[in-house]
Amino acid sequence: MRKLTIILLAVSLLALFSGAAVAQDYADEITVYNSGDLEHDPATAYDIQRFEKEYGVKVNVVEVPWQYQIDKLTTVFSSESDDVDAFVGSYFMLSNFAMPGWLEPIGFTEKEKEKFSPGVIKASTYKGTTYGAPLMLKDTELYYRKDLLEAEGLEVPKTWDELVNVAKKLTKDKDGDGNIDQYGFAYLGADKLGFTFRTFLYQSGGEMFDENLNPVFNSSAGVKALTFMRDLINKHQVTPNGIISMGEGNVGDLFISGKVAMVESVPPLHHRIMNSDLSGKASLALAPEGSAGNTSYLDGNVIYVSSFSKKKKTAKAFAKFMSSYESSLHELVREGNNSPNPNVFDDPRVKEKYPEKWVNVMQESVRDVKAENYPLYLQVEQNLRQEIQKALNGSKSPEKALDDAAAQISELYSMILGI
Amino acid sequence: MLKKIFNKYFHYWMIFPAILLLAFVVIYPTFNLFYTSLFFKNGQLGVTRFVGLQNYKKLFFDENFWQYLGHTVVYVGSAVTISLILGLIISNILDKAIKGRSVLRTIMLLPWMIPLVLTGITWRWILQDIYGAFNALLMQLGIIDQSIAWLTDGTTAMMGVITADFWANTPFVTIILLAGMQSIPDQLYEAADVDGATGWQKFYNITLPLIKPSIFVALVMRTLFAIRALDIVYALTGGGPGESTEVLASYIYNLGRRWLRMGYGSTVGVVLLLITIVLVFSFMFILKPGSVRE
Amino acid sequence: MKFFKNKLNSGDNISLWQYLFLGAYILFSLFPIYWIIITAFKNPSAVLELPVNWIPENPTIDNFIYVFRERPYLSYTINSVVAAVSSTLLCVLLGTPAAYSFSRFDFRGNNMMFFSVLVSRMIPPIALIVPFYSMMQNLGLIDTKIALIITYSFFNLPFVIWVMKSYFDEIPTGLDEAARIDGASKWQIFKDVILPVTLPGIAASAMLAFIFSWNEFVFTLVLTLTPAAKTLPIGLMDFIADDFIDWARLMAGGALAALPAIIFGLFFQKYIVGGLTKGAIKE
Repeated sequence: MRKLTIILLAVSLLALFSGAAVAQDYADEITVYNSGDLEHDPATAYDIQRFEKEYGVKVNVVEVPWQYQIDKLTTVFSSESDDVDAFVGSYFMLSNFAMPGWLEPIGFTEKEKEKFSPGVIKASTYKGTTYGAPLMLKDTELYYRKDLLEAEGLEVPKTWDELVNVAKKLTKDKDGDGNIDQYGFAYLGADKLGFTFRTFLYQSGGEMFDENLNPVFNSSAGVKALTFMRDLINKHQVTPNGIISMGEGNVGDLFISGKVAMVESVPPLHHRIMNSDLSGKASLALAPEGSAGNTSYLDGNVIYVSSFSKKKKTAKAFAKFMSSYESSLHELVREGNNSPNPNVFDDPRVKEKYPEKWVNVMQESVRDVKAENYPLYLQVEQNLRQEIQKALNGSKSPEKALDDAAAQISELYSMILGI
Repeated sequence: MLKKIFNKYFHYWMIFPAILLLAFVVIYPTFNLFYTSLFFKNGQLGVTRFVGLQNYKKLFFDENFWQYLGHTVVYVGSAVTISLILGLIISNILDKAIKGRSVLRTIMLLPWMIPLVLTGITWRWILQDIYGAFNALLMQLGIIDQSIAWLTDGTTAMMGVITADFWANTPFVTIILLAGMQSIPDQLYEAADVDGATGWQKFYNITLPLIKPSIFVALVMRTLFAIRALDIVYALTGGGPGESTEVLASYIYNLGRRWLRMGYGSTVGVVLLLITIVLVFSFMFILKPGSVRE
Repeated sequence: MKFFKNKLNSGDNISLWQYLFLGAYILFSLFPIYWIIITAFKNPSAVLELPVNWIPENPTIDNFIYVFRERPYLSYTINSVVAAVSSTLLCVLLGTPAAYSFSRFDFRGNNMMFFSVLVSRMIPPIALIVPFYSMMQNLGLIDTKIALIITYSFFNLPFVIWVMKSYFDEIPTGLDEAARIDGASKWQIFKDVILPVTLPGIAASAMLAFIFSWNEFVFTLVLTLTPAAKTLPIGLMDFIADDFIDWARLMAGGALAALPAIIFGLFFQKYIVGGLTKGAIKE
């Protein structure tokens, strides 16, 4: 009886508000785990409210601290619990969660897939099945201090070589005491080192794995990428070596505090810039090109649906809703998260919020993003991150570090997967 | 009749509720730990296969295990030793007639009251390159010219983790030792004064032997906590740079909860449990905390 | 009974070196706390200003207001207090009689049981998380304070038993004997004769149990979902996002999270001193 009432209510609501969605038998409520506090995700919170209104479904949001999100979800899924219907997760979590059969395919039609940037769909697809409904993405862009570059009469760097040259001119001892007060450039370190490495790897034409899952990131392209990362710190001395242990938030702090003139970082940073003293002084550009273009590694969030859920239909409807044009637009305008759907950037509401130049950069950058899915992602990432750190702090050469990481990963794969 | 039974088995009645609670929460998980350690159990593959003692054999040849065991020894060894020595010195000072003693005691307790995760995050910020508070302090005092990236070098990162650990936990040691010192009768010191003993002699010959039971309590509890300490390491370095602050506790965490290699993770867990038991019993053997009572 | 002796003669007066050492240690102890506090009073946009402002310009209490008004901080505090106080009570209620029994009676399995209690605390807790989660889920206790109370009690009960046993060991058995001759039952001896003497020990173990519960993180994280059960240390994570850490509010929240523990600590401190391990020593 109660269900009927709700359905009737939902039907009337739908008829009233949208008229678009077909009345279906949705569950009364679903539980969604969000990565972090919704306070930091005003757009997500807003779109959840819209979903509740349009579908007549109550969404219970559980806010999971982002550093512990994987651990917590893993605990829930290991006990095959139906506590979670859908969750906001990262693209990179896909293989780890899809392999044990914890995820439910979203069921996108080909037409629905077409509206997303191809790299995004590839990153949400594991063994031919699309599991993630893209919510937003974080692609690597170059954030720079317009005022500092103009004062020196410098052009925004477009290639790695130009980046080094400009960074050298911006690395300064301002008060003449022999210490550097302003660094030219920084990239994301700590837990994000693997992401940074992949951006540079793709930009120099490398890949992480071949079709048979053999690690190939220790190719000459990989060595070139890692050597570049090391040289920025040691040889050119334009990047502080502290970034080896600084993650996205810390490097953002560094830029906001004015200690670095340029950073390669990911979108929410422009939102931070607009809310800080740097507003108007900083701008963004495409990541400088390596020898093989300026492809950027793709990070960001998707909505996954749990295969243990008893309300899959509602959860899938939720996932699709959150990856719709309108929701992507809100993510971009309200939170500064890049849209996985390149058409969103043509919307006048976006141009109203951000300078046109930024919008063009974001749109172009989103079209060329890439991420690979391979098994045991988390452990592979840890091996890789550890070896990169060793190369950067000088305890190993880049060649040795990458070879060691590749050997460890091959061994892991043969031990666990029998490859 | 009922009363008689109650009186006869009084000691069991007294223990029963506590044991019941412990049994309720501990027997199944512990059994599970030992049992799982005999399986190849991987949550990623959804495979569970009995392998007997294979995991233990694998562990013996696991370079990571030995390396992280080494880090654990360094971490636990230094954090516990330093906090014990600091605790001894501080409690010895606070045991004496010093002005503002109760204020000092309160100040001394403060770091213990800060949630450990916050301790880790705060120290991470303090030790950060360029905008870290420690660098700012050293530079303003003119001790260094250029800020140092403490968390970028393996050795200094480990020192940072150890420092945060003993910063947070020394108060606990101090309180326990101070309590022990408070209970030493004054007459013993008075007698020593008559013999013309120096302060150091009194500390060495009277205080130290008499607070042995307190040292034992502090030592064991600190060791237990340091061996499993995860909050600080995770918040401060995440095991990096490289793997220089990776310890056995974080290895078990990664294996079991992140990489879902539950079988092998349990094996490392069992070995860590055995190491802990051996360690505690050897403390018991070396310190003989009961001997003072004779 | 006087718990706290103001001894004047436990060694010589304090030497200059000892004063210096104490001073250095206090500075070391306070530096991060000072940093937490000044950051909590800074304007969020001024937190990252360089060079560092050691005394905040335009100090503000907005951050403290924010954590209470915009975040469910009050619920977090209530959950923390309820869970920590209840589990502390539970540990003391169950642990004290058990410790007394371990200390006084020579029955079969005494040693074995006592050591199993200790060993139960040596199991790496990380290895117990998934079994704990499944268990609580089967009992329907996920996201309840009861789950936290059970978990904290499990962690702290062995310590309470251990500390209390060493305390009971110290009390001369003559006290029990005298009461028995007067015709007191075993229960009466425990309740009316021994227990009052051990109050400081109880206060001390309560303090340990309270602080350890107050700061517990890893298990609480897994067992709680919403402000209905989340505690203060988990609540602090609200301020840490992937792309940025809300330093000023995090530190304000952290300072507030420590405050109840400090008050509790001050309250019990005088009992702790003279209470904790006094019992382990027999003259």
